[in-house]
Amino acid sequence: MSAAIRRAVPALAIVAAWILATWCVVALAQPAPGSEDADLAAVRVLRIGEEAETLDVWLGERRIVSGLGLGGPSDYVVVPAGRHELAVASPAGDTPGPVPSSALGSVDLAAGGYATVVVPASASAATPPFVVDDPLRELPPAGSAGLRLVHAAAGRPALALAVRDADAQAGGRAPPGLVDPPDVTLYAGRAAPMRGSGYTMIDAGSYRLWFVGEDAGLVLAGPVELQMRPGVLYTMFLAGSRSGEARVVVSVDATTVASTQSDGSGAASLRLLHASPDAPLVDLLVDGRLTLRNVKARIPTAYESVSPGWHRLEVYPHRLPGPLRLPGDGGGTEDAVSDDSSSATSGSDGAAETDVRFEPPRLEPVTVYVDVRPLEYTMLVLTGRFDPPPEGSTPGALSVAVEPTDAVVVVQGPGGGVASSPGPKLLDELAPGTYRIEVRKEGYRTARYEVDVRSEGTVVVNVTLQSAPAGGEAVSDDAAGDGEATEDGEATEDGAPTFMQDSSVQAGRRRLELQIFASAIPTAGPGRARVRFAHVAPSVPPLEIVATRGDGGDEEGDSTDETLRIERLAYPNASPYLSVPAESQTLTFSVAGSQNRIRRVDGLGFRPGVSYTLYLVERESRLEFAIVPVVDAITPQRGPEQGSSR
Amino acid sequence: MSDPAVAKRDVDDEGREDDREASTDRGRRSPARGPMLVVGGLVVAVVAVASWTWFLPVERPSALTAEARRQVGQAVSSAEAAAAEIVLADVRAEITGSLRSDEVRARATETIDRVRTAVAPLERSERVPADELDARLDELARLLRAGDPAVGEALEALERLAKEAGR
Repeated sequence: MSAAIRRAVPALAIVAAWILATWCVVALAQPAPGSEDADLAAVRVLRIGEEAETLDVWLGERRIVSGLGLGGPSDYVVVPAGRHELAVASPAGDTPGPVPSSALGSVDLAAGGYATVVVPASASAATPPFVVDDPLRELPPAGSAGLRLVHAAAGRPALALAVRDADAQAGGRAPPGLVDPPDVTLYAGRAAPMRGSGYTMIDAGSYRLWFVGEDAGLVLAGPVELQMRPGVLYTMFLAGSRSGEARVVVSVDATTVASTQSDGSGAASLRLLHASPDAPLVDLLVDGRLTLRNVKARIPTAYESVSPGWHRLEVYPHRLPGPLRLPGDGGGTEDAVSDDSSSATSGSDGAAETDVRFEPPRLEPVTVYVDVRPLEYTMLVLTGRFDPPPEGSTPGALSVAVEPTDAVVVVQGPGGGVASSPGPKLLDELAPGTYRIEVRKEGYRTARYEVDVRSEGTVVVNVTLQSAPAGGEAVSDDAAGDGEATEDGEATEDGAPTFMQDSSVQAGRRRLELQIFASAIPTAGPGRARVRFAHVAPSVPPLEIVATRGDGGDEEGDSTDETLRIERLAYPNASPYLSVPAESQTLTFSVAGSQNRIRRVDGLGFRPGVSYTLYLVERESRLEFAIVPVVDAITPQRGPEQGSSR
Repeated sequence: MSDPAVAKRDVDDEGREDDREASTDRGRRSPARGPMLVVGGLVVAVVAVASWTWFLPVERPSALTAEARRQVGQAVSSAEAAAAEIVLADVRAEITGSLRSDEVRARATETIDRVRTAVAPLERSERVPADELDARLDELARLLRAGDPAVGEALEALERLAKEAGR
């Protein structure tokens, strides 16, 4: 006996260590308490049992689902986190007054998490209701799908989900019942009764699935076929009881929207946004292969599958920039020469008359070499001007920010015109040239400054006045005198005003460029949206972006209602994904470091469970940009129904 | 699921049995193993029957695939509507921001609400290409900015299109 105990002790120690390690991994994977989503949870309901009639499901005093049948789970419903009493009742419709219900006990919903509540048809059912945490944190890598198992069949052994590539045995027979399915590609999750597994990422494609009992290797249900689309998270439920029939239910938990149009498996994903305000339609060639054609401005394409690794990407506009000048043509033009043979014909005509070989200009693509990574979603953005006007022919802009904010700003232009008003100033449509700026306020040293406003550029000047010594007004001139600020802005002369001009903010016109934005896509928390901004407007200066709750009826939003702030976003960068409440919001865009507001958009309805990228896209006019929204991912969810009582 | 006793019998490389117990099994059965074989057989049979009741084509494969496709489609259309909301808010901000007088701004807001109502079914409709809708909205924005009375006509055309798309 003692020998048996001695043999058992190490085994028990190993088991205990394994349990401890598993618990640690699970605990670390949970979101930290007190996070931004701490007060809300998202819950959906799956019904098991044999009764066919539909039911309403109540969580405390909220009816969260109406008319739930035996189909798939409901959409996620956003509710306060914590302990709730669960009950089912016959459908009440909109009839006021109490509804007879059947209490099923209480459920705990973790803050900031997603969960599935599996409910029996009535309190007398053999299976009590139970909650399964849904580990929705990040969408599958590009070209992949996520698959997990929830074991909702009471009294059955622990299960594994055996997955086989449908191509591995096309048209194969169902396997015999006492052995594992043959040629299993992988086991996507293992789950004890009333538990769920994590997601297993798998190349998108067609698969056959079996539910296999772990203890005896028995096939308990299957096969079922599933076409797994890239960018989608699926849960396979096995529902049923010992006495009843097994029932397989599939749910789509979250999806990256655009990738669902592409069925490439095991590949990287690439898409294009044409964000040039004046370029014609464009085509994208990947390694010389025409991949996207006739791409229009401000309409993002769907994802295209490419193999991971280095690629040569070429974006061809559909015509030559500018007018085409022919030999001997003193100013004649050909508008909109297409990329067919018409230009070659014109050239040969000219050559015949003048005996000079004329090589018509060729379409030059914008070319970049990109290492497309397999796990990320890559957006290419075509920015800049296709056909920029001649240098000096277009106006520029000047932004002056001052501290104190009520100091008077006087700007004198090259033509002698003067603008004077207190507070920060944003001047647009300025003729290029040298402008004199004077900032003054009683009790402070007056600052004088000169800047060169360039065509299509925006000069940003930040001035902080220094207190004047008692006994009179002091005046300080910019030592440089030519508008180029000292490095990092701090004037070094004793007694000079402190000013700062960030030389990097000389935003201006650029020719066509291809910018690359790649990232993994996170899911949004319950009742919240995730937003990131991408600055793809080269002529727009760096921006400060602030979101506030509500439609922002006042000109100045209440800072206490601020839900998002990005201090500075410059071309060509993207912010990280930020979480915002899924309520009506007002977005304010200002020149970074000043209070000069460029744009304000109110009534923005961010939807819960949606991850957005808002591309700030250049427009024809100076300092103007449009918002091109791209929905990166969505987890369908809504609030509980209102106006019902139980 | 074979007989454990048989399964345990090991043979080395030269074909000799490994142990004495296994050698006694060769060519003959111990009388005491008879009942064990019967019980083992019964267990296998019970498990086989039990698993047979589970091993059913529980869902038609095509139905399950179709359901997943439907759910994806639902999520995608919901996401498209979410993007359209942002675009509309941006268009509205652009138009109202460019108008100077409060009265004109109020009228424009009313017009934009009508645009929003008209655009919602168009966004969902497959009959109206996105670029056509985009072009119509751009034209509306241009007319509104210019204070052109043709804005009413353009709006009515948009509403007519929405009605047709909704049919």
